[in-house]
Amino acid sequence: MKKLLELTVNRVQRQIAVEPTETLLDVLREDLGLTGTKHGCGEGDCGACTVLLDGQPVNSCLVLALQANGREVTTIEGVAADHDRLHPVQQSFVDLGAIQCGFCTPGMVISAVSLLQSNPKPTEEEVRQALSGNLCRCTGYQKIVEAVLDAAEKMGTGKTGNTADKRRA
Amino acid sequence: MYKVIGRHHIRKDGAAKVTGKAKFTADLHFPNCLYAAIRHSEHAHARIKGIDIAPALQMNGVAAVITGNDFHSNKWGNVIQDMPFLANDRVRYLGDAVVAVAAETLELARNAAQAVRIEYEPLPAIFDPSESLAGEAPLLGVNDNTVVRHHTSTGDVQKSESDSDEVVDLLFETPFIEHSYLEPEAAWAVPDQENGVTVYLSTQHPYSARRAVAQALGLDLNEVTIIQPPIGGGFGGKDDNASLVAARAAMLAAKTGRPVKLVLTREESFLESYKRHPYKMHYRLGARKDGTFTFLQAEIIADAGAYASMSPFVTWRSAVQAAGPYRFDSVWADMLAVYTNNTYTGAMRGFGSPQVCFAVESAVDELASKLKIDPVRMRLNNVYRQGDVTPTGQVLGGHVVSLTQVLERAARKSGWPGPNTGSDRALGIACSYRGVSLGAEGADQCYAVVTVSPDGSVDLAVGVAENGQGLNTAMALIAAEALGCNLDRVRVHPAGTHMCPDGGPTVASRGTIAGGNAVLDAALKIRAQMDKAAQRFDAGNATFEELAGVCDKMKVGLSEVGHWSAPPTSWDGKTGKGDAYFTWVYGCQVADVRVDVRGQKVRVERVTAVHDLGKVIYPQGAKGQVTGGVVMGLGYALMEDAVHEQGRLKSYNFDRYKIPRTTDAPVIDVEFIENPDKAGPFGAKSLGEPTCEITAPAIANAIARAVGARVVKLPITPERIRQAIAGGDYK
Repeated sequence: MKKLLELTVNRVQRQIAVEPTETLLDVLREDLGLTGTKHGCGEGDCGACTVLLDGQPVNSCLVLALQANGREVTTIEGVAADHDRLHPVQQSFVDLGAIQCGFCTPGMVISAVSLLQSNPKPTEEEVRQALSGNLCRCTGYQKIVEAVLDAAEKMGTGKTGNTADKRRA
Repeated sequence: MYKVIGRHHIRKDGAAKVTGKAKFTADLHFPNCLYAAIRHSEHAHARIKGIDIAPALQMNGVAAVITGNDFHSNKWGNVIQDMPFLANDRVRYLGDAVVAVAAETLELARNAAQAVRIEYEPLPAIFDPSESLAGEAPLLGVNDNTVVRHHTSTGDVQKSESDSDEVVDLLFETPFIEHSYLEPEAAWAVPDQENGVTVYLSTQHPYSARRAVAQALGLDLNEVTIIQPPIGGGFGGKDDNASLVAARAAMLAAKTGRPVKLVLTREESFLESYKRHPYKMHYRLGARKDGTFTFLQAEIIADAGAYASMSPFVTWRSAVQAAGPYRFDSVWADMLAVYTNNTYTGAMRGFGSPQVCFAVESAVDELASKLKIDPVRMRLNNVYRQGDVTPTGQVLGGHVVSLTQVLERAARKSGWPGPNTGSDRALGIACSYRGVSLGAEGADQCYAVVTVSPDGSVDLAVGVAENGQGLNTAMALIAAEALGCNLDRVRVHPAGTHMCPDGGPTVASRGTIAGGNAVLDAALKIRAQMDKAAQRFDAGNATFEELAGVCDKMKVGLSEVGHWSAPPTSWDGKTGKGDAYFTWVYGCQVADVRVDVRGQKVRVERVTAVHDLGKVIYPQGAKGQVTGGVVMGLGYALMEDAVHEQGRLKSYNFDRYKIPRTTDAPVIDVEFIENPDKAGPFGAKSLGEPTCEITAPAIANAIARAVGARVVKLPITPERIRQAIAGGDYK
């Protein structure tokens, strides 16, 4: 039986009737049409479905939609401050060629944004650790890591903090 | 000298992909649609005695249930037509699809697929390719279980062996590899207003899918339109299986008159999609005391699995390149592919080269070790030089044979020879030559359609496809360079079979050379028209845009179909001789590897990759091809193994099928050597596959140098290293 789910997605309040078995990924893609979040493996191994839930990165294929009740979700469509501009991480991905097929890209960007929120000046090793839940088969990761470091630099100085991969902490 | 190509540009689809706006196939939606599900086999080999679809059809909300009998023709295959769209008499591997269902919801479709009653009579099955040709083995092929056999030889191996001072004799083995494109197979089949169907498909070869769907539904080619949305990776894997998926969805759409969405789960993708061939390779190599190679003998058997797929061509490349880029007095190479009841195997990045490169390059290092000769010096002494003749009798000429160049550059750049042998860290080297494009496999041609509109904007459609590698950006660069316009004026349209004639498959690292030559042909024709018009209408100082406007007013046509047909190649299957490829590329990689024997860990710290690709068109894209290829090669070397047990995969997802993560990837030093080739657009040729074929042997050689023992079986796991050390026959 469907239940009412209330949540904030990309700063907009939403109310959706969902089945208790539906995942957050299903709701984002099927009910809200936010198809930037990808379905890659369905079991939390590839990271293509990564979104921010109350600011923390999660594999949305492993989160039941109702678990997101009353919470705030940010997807790739909402990661930039406004529609016309790219988030610095997105910009660096484009500029440095961190994109090939693009299927892993939304999840990668979300993981990177999350890292830079908690650790604005990560080392290369910290970037690699923070993105280790996101698989990419095209790029060999080098340009992705460079792009995240480039974005960190462009976003300005901050204190060096701890590695911020909460999923693995 | 060039204004556009070879300079820094960002990819054209970057912004769409980084914002989530890029719509992959499964992201599309069509109203009034149905959702499809597949029912797969329950046996690796069985006769289908009966299929009762009634229980599924009776379910409320089920629109159609189809079996193999519904297809106009139930045979498919790009080379040999031995594959059904849906199995209806026999299942030959566990991934065979038997029934497809379309229903109002996905859940309903899945339940209905499970409700179908299928009666099987299990048959004896073969899982070991070396047993496939035994007399008592069940018949899987037409006359016997051989899919194909290739042979090539030159000189007299026995005589050359007697001239040898040292001989190595090694048995190599490589595993099944899953392509692991991040996007599973996906199709939307939409009936059109006439008789036909349009399929939006995650495919790397729309034209092959068009042939499949037309054959399956009994339609003409022009009644089937295949459109390629952005695709989430291919690596050779989105061809045959994508075509099967397309045909199943199209048949359901035709039956119901409604749009049908068919998306495989990751598990289904692992289950039914073809893999890279496992090879067993018996190599014998000889050399004189001074390190001069004498002979190479290779006996190779490939597991083709249940269907032929690309096995005939994959193994042909293996046979042609079996002896590596070296001069031998004598070569004897025999390559056999056989049917089994394992998952079928087909095209995957490298296409028969990663296996033989692993064997040859490992064996060369073994020989070097026995003769106490430095591996780089050993290679420099023996690699092909300008004008040398390959085992198939082809003279390497008409382009720069740059093996010495790539070897010397890679050795210098990597700090060869690195730490002393015996420490836990060592460098390993591997090099290769690779025939460009399809070669004598088949008709090699491509088309492009280029139109300059009155405002100076340019539409471009090309017969090869963007698989994520950056092809569309490279095509736009070539068009802009030849037309003399800015890059941002060129729009490359998504591949669609209605947009451009069949340009052949986007495989064999042929995208730039085949597509680029076709684009160049069209663009140069247009530029000639524009130049003529500029003279005739006294518009010599006009901008590109102004001149486009003048041409429109003066009725000068600025739309052209470009065509490229590959330079001649030849092959005589009886003698194993011929000019196999019209040109070749050369590459060398050095892996810097740390082996912690006690801690059971192998860490690849750095890979130096030097490739001669003719000419760099799109630097960012080219670099990405190298870094991606190297890390895929690292997975092949150390971790990936799609183990089959009695035809059943041990892992169906990334929890247990491990591919490299950020933390596994090394730092990659990329360098390009540019020896422009007259066969390529602005001298450019191939890159995608060479980058992926020599990483595993470079890593294998580094490990062997570090621990003093040779692992001959991929992947090189810590357990296998320990066994090799215990066996210890390296020195």
